[in-house]
Amino acid sequence: MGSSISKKIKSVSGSGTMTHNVEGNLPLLKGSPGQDSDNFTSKNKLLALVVDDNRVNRRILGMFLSKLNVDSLEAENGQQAVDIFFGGASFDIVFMDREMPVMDGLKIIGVSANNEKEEIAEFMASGINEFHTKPLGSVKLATIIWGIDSSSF
Amino acid sequence: MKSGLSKTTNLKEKFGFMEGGMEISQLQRHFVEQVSSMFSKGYLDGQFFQLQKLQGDGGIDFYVELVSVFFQDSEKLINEMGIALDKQPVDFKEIGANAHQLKGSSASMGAKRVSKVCEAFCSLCKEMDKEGCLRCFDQLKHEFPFLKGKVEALLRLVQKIVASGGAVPVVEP
Repeated sequence: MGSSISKKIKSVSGSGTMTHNVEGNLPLLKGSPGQDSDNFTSKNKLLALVVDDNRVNRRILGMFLSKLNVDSLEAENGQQAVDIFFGGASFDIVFMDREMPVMDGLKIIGVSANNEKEEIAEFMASGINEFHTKPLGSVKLATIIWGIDSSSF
Repeated sequence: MKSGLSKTTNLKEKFGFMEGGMEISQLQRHFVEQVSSMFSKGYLDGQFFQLQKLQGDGGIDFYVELVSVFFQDSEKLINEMGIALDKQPVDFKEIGANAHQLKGSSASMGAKRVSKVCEAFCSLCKEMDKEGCLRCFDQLKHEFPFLKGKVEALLRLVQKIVASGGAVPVVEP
């Protein structure tokens, strides 16, 4: 069961990199603000999409993001998120609750031509839901889509 | 005359400022005591501290509105949970979904005890334990109004401090 925004998927569009934080603490990366997050603001003005059916959670996250120099738009469910996403806005980050009415959080499929075990493990650990090697032919794609369609995700 | 009037006005301003100053420090001390007590008794946690810091960045109006939305939504959820618990058969899925919602928003607000009760409520709904759910619901009906009363009292203090021109202290857990 997904627990509000705390289980979040951060997807950086364009580069295709993602990080996933399951419970609480992110590893302290070199150069990251860490405990000094009070004084941190993003150098670039970023735009985030916050997807959560709980308006209290959306507002709080939006306020925290604003403090970090990140603008945000809100969506109440996955369907609204998809509509906004394809409405032309270009997001840098998406924070998405997993469990929502209408449409739950999105499933992230990682694809790579590289199928080395260590690299796959690292990719999976970054928060993707599934990994598939390229090329994605029609059979493989149909299997992926069937899996999403028939799962209770 | 002009000079006397000016003197009187200055004295009023002076005494007004002093009274205001004393009142502010008392209000601030009272606020710190109240928040510290709520931290130590487990009603609030570190998330509340984070929200306090947002208030410090000029977000007091935002916080007041947020609290109002939180109470409004939570009361609706609790009311719906009560109705669902009276149904035959009990709709554990609906109650569980509401408990999950309340767990998320109360955790975001730093309302630790309410969030913990909701967490237990979610587990009991999964187990379809009606007796357990009823006990949890009773606990929620006790915890939530208590929290609401305390937070509303804190907000009144915040508004008085701000109206007196003081800064709202940020209290660490």
